[in-house]
Amino acid sequence: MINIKTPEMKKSILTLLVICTTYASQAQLYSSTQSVISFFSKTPVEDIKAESKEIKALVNVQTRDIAFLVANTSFQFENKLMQEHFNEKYMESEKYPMSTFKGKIIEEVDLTKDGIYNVNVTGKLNLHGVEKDRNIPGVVTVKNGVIHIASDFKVQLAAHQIQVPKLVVAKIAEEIDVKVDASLALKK
Amino acid sequence: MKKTIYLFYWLLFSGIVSAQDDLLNMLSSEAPQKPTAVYATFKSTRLVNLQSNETMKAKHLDFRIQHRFSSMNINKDNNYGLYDVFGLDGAVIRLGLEYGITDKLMIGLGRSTAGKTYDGFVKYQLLQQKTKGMPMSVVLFGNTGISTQAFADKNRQNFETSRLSYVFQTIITRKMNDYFSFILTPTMVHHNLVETKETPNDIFALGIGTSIKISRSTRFNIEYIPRLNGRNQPKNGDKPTYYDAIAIGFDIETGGHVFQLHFTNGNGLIEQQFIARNPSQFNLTQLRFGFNISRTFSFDK
Repeated sequence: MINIKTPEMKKSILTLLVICTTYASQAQLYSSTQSVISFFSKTPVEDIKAESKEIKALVNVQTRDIAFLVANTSFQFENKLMQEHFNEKYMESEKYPMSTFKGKIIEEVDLTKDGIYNVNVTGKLNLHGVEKDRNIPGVVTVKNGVIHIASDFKVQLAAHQIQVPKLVVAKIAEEIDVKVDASLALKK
Repeated sequence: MKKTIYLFYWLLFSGIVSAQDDLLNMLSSEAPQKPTAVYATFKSTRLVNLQSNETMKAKHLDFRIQHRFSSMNINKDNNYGLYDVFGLDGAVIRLGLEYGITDKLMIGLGRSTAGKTYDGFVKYQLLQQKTKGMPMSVVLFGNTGISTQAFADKNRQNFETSRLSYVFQTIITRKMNDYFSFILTPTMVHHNLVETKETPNDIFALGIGTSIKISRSTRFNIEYIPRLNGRNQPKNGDKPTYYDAIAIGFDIETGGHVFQLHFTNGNGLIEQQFIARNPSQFNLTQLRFGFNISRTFSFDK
């Protein structure tokens, strides 16, 4: 009979459990290979756009959990002055360096099978240190083991306590259009 | 034993904590935060008169208007400033076009009314303060000024090289936190031609200054540029005595524009003038109101 009380045995059982769980979770995880997030602010005075190719995404195809993370300082603007103001005045990137979303695909879709799925993701969007419950629609395309996620949604600056000074209020839209384009492959 | 307990707890709670958190945590741990460049140490490429560590980014053009009114003349002889409307009757102005060649290298051209002077400068960001590691920014600055004013004494033998003057600065800055930034600027000014034999051609000075954030769009700035030599110039006849420049000002940023409003005794808008040849004292008679307007254009596509 195996003596489970010896420290060596405990250790090996635990190690085995850890390996099993890690292995199991890795087997169903898809991580981003090539992803872009961009946003637009449209006002009669000025159009502002920026994009980041450093957004990271993870999808668990078994639980249909999904997560996105992007460093605010990775957003590139055509106008570098705007980029500086974006980080310093609006996102306050030194205080809140990351923007994140974590959620779950509501529809019971099988993301291991090829197809095009219109989905809704419910979860929490964290911008500027303020977390909001959101329901965001998207289109998931699965083909040859690659999951592609496309989504357009709006972010209200006021909802995330991003205040626009009166001096520039005409130049920045109250609602920002955000576009996410992510390709994910099985995580190795 | 402790390790086992930790492992046990980890196993227990990893099941309870929602898998969503796990995904986000996995992402954050996969992408550890790299030290990033510290931005917005100052609002503009100038503190008030002094150059700050900020440079124009690549393919960005700054059209800059630097304007100082005349002395405020707040004294009894001038009806307590009303005679000249606190100096608004007169002005010294510099118009400049300043351009970023790369994110670290910028050049500028300008023309000042004082001495009918053209100037060209190069500013290079040698070191950039980082969130971790590099504690400060170091920027090198050099300019050449060419005065095109007619020589005072046309009968004397005049050399065209007498029109030239140079400035070298090492600009050292540190953004302490979101609210405070400091600047230290060792400076050398060289004038090819000086007024008297006793006046040194080379003036050394140490610019010091601070910028305090008031709101996201406004900052309060103070600077003082004491000279380290040439302070005891002879006060013979019509040769002026020079004083150290001090300035107090506000930055108001409105997106593409930065408006800098200030009071200073600094006369002239390039370093050779307001550091080495400033004839005004810091008092209510000789203090002047001034402003800089900076408008940035992006040619980046």
